[in-house]
Amino acid sequence: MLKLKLANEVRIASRTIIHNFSRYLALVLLTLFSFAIALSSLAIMNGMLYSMREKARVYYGGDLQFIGGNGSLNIYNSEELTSRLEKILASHISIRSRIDYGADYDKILFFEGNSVPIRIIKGLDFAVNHDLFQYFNFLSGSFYEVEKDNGILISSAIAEKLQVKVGDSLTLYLDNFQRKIDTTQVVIKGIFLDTSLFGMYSVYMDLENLRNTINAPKDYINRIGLYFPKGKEPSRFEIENIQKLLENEFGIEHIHPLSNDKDDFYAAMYKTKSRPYYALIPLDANLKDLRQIIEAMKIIIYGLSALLIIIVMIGISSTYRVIIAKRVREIGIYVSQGFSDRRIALIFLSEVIFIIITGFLAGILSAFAIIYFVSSLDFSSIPAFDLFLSNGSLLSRYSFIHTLVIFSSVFVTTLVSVLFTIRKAIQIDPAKALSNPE
Amino acid sequence: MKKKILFTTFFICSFTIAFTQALSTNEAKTLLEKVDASTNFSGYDFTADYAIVQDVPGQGKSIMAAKIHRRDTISAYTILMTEPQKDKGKAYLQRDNTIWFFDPADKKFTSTSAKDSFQNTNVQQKDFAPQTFSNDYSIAETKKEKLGSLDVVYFYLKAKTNQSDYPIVKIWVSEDGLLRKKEEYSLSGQLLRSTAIPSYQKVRSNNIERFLPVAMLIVDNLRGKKIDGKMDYEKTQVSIKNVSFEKLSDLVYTKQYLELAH
Repeated sequence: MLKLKLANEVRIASRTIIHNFSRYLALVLLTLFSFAIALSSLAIMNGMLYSMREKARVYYGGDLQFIGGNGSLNIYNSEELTSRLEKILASHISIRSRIDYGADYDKILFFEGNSVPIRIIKGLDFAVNHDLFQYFNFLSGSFYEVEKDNGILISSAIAEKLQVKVGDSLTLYLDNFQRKIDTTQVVIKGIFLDTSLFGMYSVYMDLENLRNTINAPKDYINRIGLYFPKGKEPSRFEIENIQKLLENEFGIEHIHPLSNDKDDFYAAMYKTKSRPYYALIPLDANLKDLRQIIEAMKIIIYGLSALLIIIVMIGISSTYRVIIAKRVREIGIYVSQGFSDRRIALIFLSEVIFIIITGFLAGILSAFAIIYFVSSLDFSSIPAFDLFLSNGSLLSRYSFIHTLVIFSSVFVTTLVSVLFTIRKAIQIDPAKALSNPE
Repeated sequence: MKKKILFTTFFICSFTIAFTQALSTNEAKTLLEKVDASTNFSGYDFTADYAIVQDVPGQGKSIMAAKIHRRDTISAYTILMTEPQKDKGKAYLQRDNTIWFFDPADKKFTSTSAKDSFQNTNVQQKDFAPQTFSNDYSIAETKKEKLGSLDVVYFYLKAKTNQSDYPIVKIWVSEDGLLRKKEEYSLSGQLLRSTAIPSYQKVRSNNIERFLPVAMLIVDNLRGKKIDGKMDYEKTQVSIKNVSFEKLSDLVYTKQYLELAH
């Protein structure tokens, strides 16, 4: 019986909307626009953060990094450490050694008199890092055969400054591992597009070639990257579990407590010259400098979404105040026919639900259209924006949770505010209502 | 006739052998110490005006001038930029193994390194300090050579410590212990920088007589531009004049002096 009554109210509401659709069109459009903007902004923001994280994974070496040494960030027994890690870590975690030849040493690339100082040389075993470089945007050449001829991968920014192309031989000037000035010839194998702070002045070489170039010992590395399968970044729980495994394997006195602040670890490590001291560094700890940008970005997008929810809520409830004021006579008819306040409220609420759902569904479709359009644009010419791009374009990551939260927020807040307006309107005397000319 | 030819051949060969033969270890060491001594002004102050002309291929020449004060006894020097007008007041101070750069625009001191270039020229901060070849390098090879019309001794030097500026240095020294040419190499033997000192001036001041370069030509063998298929490297010419060995106030080698001087 209740079902039947409800069906009647929904039928009345839908008939009203269909017959007077032009009256509701503005509300549907407002809802559609708000959902479309909020959902597309959130999807694009998620895509930007995902792109940045992927770049950070390549730059820092995995989802988690295992670093340390005897009083300095130098590991002279990489094979032994790698096999110990392989023994204790789950098989889906890929363990990869690398050398980040960084800021403490001078490094300059020269070609026919032109020069570019480089920020970091990253030495990797390309045989096990194919998956990372597949997502690089190579303008020419590739990472294949980088091991040959002392190959090097450089960014387009470096290539433009040096006016070089794939196959050119450059002079790499650097302070070697013993801090002696040395030079070597390197051949460009690939030029990639990356104007972000991670990639612009970073170059990549084969691990063994870099070891020889800097005259480092045979088993030398300075970090071990722990890579989880793509798209399955480790949870805090998984990270804590790995930390426990490391403490059991190496001894608690050799492993720094899990921290998101690398400086804490460095301070502790420099004091422990007599024994090896290592740390497990989550990727987020490396993104400390970017945290403010990320937080600001989240505040702007979440703020925009909240603003749009408020606009929809205020828009629908205030419009309904006007709509109801114009439909006092109709309310009077319902009352005179014996409709209870609850049933009358249900008719109006059904109309609102219809508007929200129609706007929501059309909003999702529009959001996809916006995302598709924005993703097809090339933003690579915007300086430093490449940090958030994937192959020069914005990537979108649609979130079901975000959609649910936004829909629920709009649904609940709008219904509550409309219900408040309806409750006032239906407490009217039926005789007065019927005498109303409208 | 045959005898004449034989005699001439014998004479040329003997002369060549005698001239190109290596010096004894002690002779070489003494000469190298003499080179260091010729660039060291310990015991008194050194003041001079340096005119610096930087030539960057494709960009033309830029001219600057600086007043240098050195007190090698305490390994200190002060350099005050006097030209161009926009750089006037910029200054450098070396004290206690630290080199400070003072910029009058923000009145701040920043530390710089001996390997850093001076005002974006091919001159390095270390070029203003005395040479220490005999301490920092071991002699790998010596031989007598001709450098243009000059009789010189060629030294092939290898760095003894990691603190040495360059892993390999080749120098050509005239018999009076004056440095005539210097080439600095990377560990793998690539030429990075060359310095030529074609002529010296005799300076007498405060009852002290010393030989100083009239000018030095420093070539950066990595930076430059390829013009018509030929590499033209960046070079800097440094001319030295108005040399004095008069005693200076201790204040000259302080940060306070740099702040007041501009």
